[in-house]
Amino acid sequence: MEKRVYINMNLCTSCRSCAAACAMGHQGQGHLKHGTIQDKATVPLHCRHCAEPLCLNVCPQEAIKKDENGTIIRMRNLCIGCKSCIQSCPFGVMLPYSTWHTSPKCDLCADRLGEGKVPRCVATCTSGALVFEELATIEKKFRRTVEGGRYFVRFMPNR
Amino acid sequence: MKELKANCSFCSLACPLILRGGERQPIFTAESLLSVEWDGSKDSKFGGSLCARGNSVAEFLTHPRRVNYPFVLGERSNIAAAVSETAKSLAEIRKEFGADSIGVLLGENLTIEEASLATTFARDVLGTNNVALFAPDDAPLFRAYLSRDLSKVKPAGARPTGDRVVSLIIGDSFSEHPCTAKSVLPAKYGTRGSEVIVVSPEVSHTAWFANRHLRCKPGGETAVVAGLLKAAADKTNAPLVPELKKMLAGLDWSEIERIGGVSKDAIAAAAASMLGASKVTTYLSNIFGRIAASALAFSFAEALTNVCPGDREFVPQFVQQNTWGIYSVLAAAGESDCLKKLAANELKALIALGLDLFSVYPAAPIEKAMREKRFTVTTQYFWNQTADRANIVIPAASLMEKKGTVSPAFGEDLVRDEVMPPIAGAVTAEKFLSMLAREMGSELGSAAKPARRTERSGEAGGMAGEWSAYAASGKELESAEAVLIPWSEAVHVADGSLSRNFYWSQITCPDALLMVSEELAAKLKLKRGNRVDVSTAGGEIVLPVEVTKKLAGKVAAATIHFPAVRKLFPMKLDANGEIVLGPVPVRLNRQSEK
Repeated sequence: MEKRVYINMNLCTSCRSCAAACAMGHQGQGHLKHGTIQDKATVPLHCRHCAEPLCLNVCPQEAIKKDENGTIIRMRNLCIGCKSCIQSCPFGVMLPYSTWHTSPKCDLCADRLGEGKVPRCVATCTSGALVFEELATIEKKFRRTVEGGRYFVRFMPNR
Repeated sequence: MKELKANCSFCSLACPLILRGGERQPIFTAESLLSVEWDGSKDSKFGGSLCARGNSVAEFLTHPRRVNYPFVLGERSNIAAAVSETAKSLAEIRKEFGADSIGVLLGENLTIEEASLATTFARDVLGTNNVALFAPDDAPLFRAYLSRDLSKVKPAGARPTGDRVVSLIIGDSFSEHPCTAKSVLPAKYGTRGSEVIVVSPEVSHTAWFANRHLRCKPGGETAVVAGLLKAAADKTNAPLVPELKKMLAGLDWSEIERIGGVSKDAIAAAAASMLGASKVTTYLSNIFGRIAASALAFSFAEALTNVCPGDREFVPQFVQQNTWGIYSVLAAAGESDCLKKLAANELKALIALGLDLFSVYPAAPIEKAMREKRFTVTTQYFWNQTADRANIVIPAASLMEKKGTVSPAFGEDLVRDEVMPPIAGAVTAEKFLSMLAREMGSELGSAAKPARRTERSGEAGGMAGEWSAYAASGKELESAEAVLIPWSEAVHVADGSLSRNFYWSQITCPDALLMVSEELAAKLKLKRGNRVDVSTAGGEIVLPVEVTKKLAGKVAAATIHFPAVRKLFPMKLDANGEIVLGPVPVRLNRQSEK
């Protein structure tokens, strides 16, 4: 089963450490943005690494590929920065600005995964809101916590 | 890949870090530094990881705008010439105006050894006692810690059974010290009935997670904490020290409600919750006058924590890292009226080490003193307003680039014996002071094991007097049209002198902002994006407006990591020679859209 980044909305304090770590770990080009949900919450928005990714389909240079773990990665040497992927993303999680000529795209910190570590955003989360788990583990955990009545979703009001 | 273990030096949590550098470099230097990561093998104080500014450590160490050369009158120079020029100017001023016309201001970015060396330099080389720590956020907490030992207060009764945990947070810990969340939130969700109680006037990052938000008036935190202690003492007949007991008996509930803005019932219910918990942790975080009379709040909070019968921990969080270490060195060296002389513009020369004076507090008297001063030498990381006004600027080495001891918390020292060498051109304050002393014909001895005052004494001395002054300041706010409080953002640290230069802070919080409550916006006909003249007794600036639900009533808040905002808080010194900070009355006038 593939691991993905999940967020526990009960714990996120909007400190933006995850986005800072992402930017610092990718030569200043962050792949993670903070978005507002229904004008109520400010939370980090991660790439879903979709099963059928539109960004992959629209890329004219075939610079976006799916690796053996299901991670959608952008080949930096092929990307020409045309921003087609940014426009096509249905979740709006690809950033509309870039430091380099390429489109920013979350790669789940492939350099760290190879060393057996978790992505930078998860490692740096100051409140433990971000986890890097398999979907089955998250589903199990979520079900348990809902039944236990300890967790509930709260949104921090936006400014 | 080479690794070096270090500690972040941006706030008082001192999170353990791993610095990673290129293998091919012969020496581990900033130039070869590739990444910084939280050191999970060592526990940081709150079991946290790196916050947004901690993630910027690598960027800070290798920042292209860091000062790499000494500057003499704005011209690039070398260290020998800068030291020679400094020695000459100081000697001239000492001859003309006397040694007491020279002041030495110390800031957080010095080690304890360097602070001791600076004291020796002032006494033995310059011949003056004008040495002071310039940290208006933290100094009142240190005075309260040393002069009022309320750790002697005994718990009221036996430890409650169960595993209910209560965290009391005074201020906005999650913004000022984001790692705190990692110990507070799991406790909140971990056991049934656990609670987070937050005392603050705004729905801050911290207050949003509160089970009980004691939403006080601006500056009312101290009154609410006093009320919590009074309610706890009344309910349990707690064995308080006599002086404190007498003082609490004299406090009237109507006065607590008037200053604090929280009802007696709400305070009593929160106090009952704390008394029934098997574990109570109290956090107190005070950035630049958020908590009016913070020394008083510190003592009340410590007594309140110790009255609780469960396991208890009192966690005062300083804004800056080594201010406690420097304060303890200066406390051992004796009293100094350097700040009074600075405020009265009696100093002709200033040596500012380890701080950006204008970012910490650019109050009108300090700005005037700097403008009229004959000579200023300072150590700086970046070119800033302090550097602009200084005759000589020395490139500073940060706490991560020099060996020595720092005290990130009371009673906990951190000895840094393996560090990366300073980046090209940067010099430590120790090296600068030694060279300067030699140039002035003296030799500074070793600064190993400096004398420090860390033992506590006294009980509740001076609290009644401080309460009277606090109550009087509250009346001024009641009649104001609007009240300005500091607002902190998690991407910035303390005075913002470092974080304003970081890439991530520049993206997320590049400029100062004024937030106003919906009521205030409706009353003054303000909308998001309007530009507003913000004027207080301290000064006047123009800020863009953001209307928010996080504030209520006549409260406005401004991001406190910018000198222009700090200047709005007027400078007053109390009888202890401390800078008195707190919420201030403010006038807001919308600028014409033309």
